[in-house]
Amino acid sequence: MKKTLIIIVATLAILVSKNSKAQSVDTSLIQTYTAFDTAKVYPQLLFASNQFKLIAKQNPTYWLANYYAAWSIAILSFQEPDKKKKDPMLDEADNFFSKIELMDTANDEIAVLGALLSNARLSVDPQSRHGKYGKISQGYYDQALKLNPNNPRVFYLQGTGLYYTPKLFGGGPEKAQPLLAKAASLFPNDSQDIHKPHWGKAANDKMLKDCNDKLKK
Amino acid sequence: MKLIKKLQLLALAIPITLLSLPANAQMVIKGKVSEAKGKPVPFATVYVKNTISGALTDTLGRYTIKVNKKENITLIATAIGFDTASYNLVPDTGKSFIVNLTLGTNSSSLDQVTIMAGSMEANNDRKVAVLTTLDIYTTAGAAGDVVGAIQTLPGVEKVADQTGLFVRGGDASESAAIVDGLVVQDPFFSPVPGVAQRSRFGPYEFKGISFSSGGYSARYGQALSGILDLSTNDLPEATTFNANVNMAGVGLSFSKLWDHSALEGGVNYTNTQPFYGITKTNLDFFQPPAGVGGNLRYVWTNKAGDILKLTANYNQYKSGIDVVNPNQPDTTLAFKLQNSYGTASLYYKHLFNERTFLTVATSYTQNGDSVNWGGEIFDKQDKRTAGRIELDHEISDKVFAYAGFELQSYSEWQQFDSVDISFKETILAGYLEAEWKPAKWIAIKPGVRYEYSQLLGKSDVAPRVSAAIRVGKYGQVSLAYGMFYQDPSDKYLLFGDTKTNFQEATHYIANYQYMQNDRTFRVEGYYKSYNDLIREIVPEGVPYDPNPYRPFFWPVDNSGYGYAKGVDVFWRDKKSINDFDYWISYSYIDTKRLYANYIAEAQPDFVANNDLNIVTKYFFEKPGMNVSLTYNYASGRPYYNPLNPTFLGDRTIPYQDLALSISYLFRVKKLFGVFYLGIDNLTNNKNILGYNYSDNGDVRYPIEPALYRSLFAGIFLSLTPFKKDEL
Repeated sequence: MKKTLIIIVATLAILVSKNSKAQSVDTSLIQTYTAFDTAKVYPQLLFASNQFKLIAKQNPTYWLANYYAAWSIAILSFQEPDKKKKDPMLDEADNFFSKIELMDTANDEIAVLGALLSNARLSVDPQSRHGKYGKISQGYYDQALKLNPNNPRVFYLQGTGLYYTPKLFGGGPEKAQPLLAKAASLFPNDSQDIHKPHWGKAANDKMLKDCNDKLKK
Repeated sequence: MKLIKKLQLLALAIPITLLSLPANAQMVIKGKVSEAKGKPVPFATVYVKNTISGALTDTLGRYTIKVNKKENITLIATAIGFDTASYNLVPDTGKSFIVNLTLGTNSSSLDQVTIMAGSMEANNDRKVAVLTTLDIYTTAGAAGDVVGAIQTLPGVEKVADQTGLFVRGGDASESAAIVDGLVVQDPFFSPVPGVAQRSRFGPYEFKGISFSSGGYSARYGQALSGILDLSTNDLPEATTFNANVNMAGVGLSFSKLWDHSALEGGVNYTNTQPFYGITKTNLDFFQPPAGVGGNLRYVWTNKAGDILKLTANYNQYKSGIDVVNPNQPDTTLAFKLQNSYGTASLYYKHLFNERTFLTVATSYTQNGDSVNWGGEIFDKQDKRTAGRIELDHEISDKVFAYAGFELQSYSEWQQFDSVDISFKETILAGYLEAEWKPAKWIAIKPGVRYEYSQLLGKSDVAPRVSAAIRVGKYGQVSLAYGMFYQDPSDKYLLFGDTKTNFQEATHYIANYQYMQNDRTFRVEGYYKSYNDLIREIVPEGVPYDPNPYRPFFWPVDNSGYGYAKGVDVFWRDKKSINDFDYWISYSYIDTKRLYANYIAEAQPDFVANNDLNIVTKYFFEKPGMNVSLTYNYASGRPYYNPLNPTFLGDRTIPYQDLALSISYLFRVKKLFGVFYLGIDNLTNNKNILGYNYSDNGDVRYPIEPALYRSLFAGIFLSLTPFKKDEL
């Protein structure tokens, strides 16, 4: 009995110590995610994104750390006022992304991140990049939907893309609205666990509202 | 901008430090991050290596980090556009430390210096391109022809009555068109006396267009003046089906896209009857050009980035025009032409790793012309086999090098009357070139090319070198020097005199370019010397014959020579007015040469001293319409007047042309369409290209272009939506 107890305690101790590192990384990720999510101005976003990058550099084999680093840079790049800085930023994001693309090919969120990065590249110079990156994004959407047909972020990104595409080129609010509405119906199913990316709801709600307002007019 | 100001104020007020930290045994590191010249770097990241303790600098470059005390600490500073800086700190007993860090400008990302002397690029990927491929298609007056748009760039003459690309005082035979690294045989439709023909390059085939008006890379040779270097598309964007109906025929095309491969193809029927039917022409097109053609293309790629392209094209057409009789300028002769053209090519690129790749390309082309000129029958056939193998390797971050071999084997056969002549030439070339960036602000590219001609039995070694230096934040100076060798043109090879040597040109080019925020200014000066040009030994007393289509030539030697010097200026502004884009190009050239059958050193008849192009484009978001206006002015060109003692001493009136093009996008259910309309010479300006003189020189007859004002319209339909960049 005593012996059994020792074994159990020892095993637990090992498990706890093994987990404690993962836990501390996750704790850092949760803190940084909260900071990023609630950031109101550019320097706060940049600071939180830098924090994600440091966490990823410390944990190069942990997919989630690389995921948030790449994701935060992509989001940040949309807000970066200096157009010339966008591509070098996204080069850095690609470095993190290429690591996780090799780690796990069966995760729909990784494909969604691929699409987000491609959309970010496209938005640097939409006129001349539409051809190349439009196709790359579509490839990632298809891949994500194959793995999870109910990923709200796919519909949010597709809808956003269409919203900004002129009507004549096959876009416009009419085309975007059903996709954004579908995304809105799927977002409530998101888990709030840091291991399951769940960004995009607030932005989708806003985009859907803009879209509906435009259609009313 | 307002937001940025606010952000900066906020950052100034509260330098942000780490989110949360345990409070035991801490030390504080403070300092400033600045550029090499001392200017503070705002929003730089400073962190302690192997930890997640970091901070962001404020607008004055200041940072503060609180960190658990350790024996030694490596502090790292990074910012976009800069190299990373680090500092090893061995803390003493104190609690706070000051560490200032200096960031060097990054050589591999922002503001990289690029060698530009002599070349203009239309490319969608590279940041340095002056134009995008879209610009080529939406330029009025270009008529959807790649070469038509190139003619609006500085250094290129638009010659309305001769076929080819005329670059900085060089004639059409002195420039080459290259597709995927291979020289194109007959890049233009077969020449018709007095009527410039368009190039065979369709508007949507290329992802990159690079035009060099001199000083080009050791990769290429056999062009004294310049090259047009085209890269074909990779995989198409989508599976689709297109139809094109216009005043010159109908075309159908498709593309089928799989995961890693695609098949594309098309057929077309050309009949220019509707176009010539409504246009008032100066020459009688009794048989407007008409024909059929088809093309097929297979593209394969894999995840590693290897790519294979297989292409086949076939086209045949016939035409009939009454052209001026060169011997009796007051009369005309019927010129009937039948042409068939077929080409097949293979291109393969293999990536060994991120730094090394191999390219292999080969092509075969066969072209046949049958001409009936006033009852005289000329039959002509020419062939070309081209091959290239090249290895590219990035030796380090600072050095990129490539080496390759090129083979060109071409032949021509011609028969008229009882004369049956032919030649076959094989040119072997090897080259080595490297681009070295010893520092952030300088790039040097030395190269050398060796060529051997089987027909001439001669070889040459052509050194090339170019360099670029950054001046200021947005400007740079580029320089280029090179020697260029070329065979005698085909017509001289055909007449059997192969005792000659290569012709030679030496280029010196200096270029300044300023590029900021969608505004580009460039000015380029050049000097070229021509040596060993092919010159006909015209017997004493024989008068000069200005007819470029003479069927016979005198024996030749390499005693020709010449020079060209000039200035090209280019200004483009996409920024000042929303949706409005314009560029202005101006060229001044001073050139003279003694070559061909010239009787004295003179400015050639295809060169205008001053050339101005103004290209404007406006995009109306609603209703989705692109409108472009292009104005071209060229000062008078020389023409031969037998009564003037100065050879080629007369000048025509200036050439002026205003062209308009409109493309309107529309949508009918699932079908997407573009309606396009182009009007050339809107003002119906009566341009005169030169004069023909009667035998005794008493009467002169103006040489008019084939058309004054003309109108062209058509509709392009697609089953998939248009991308804005296909307009």
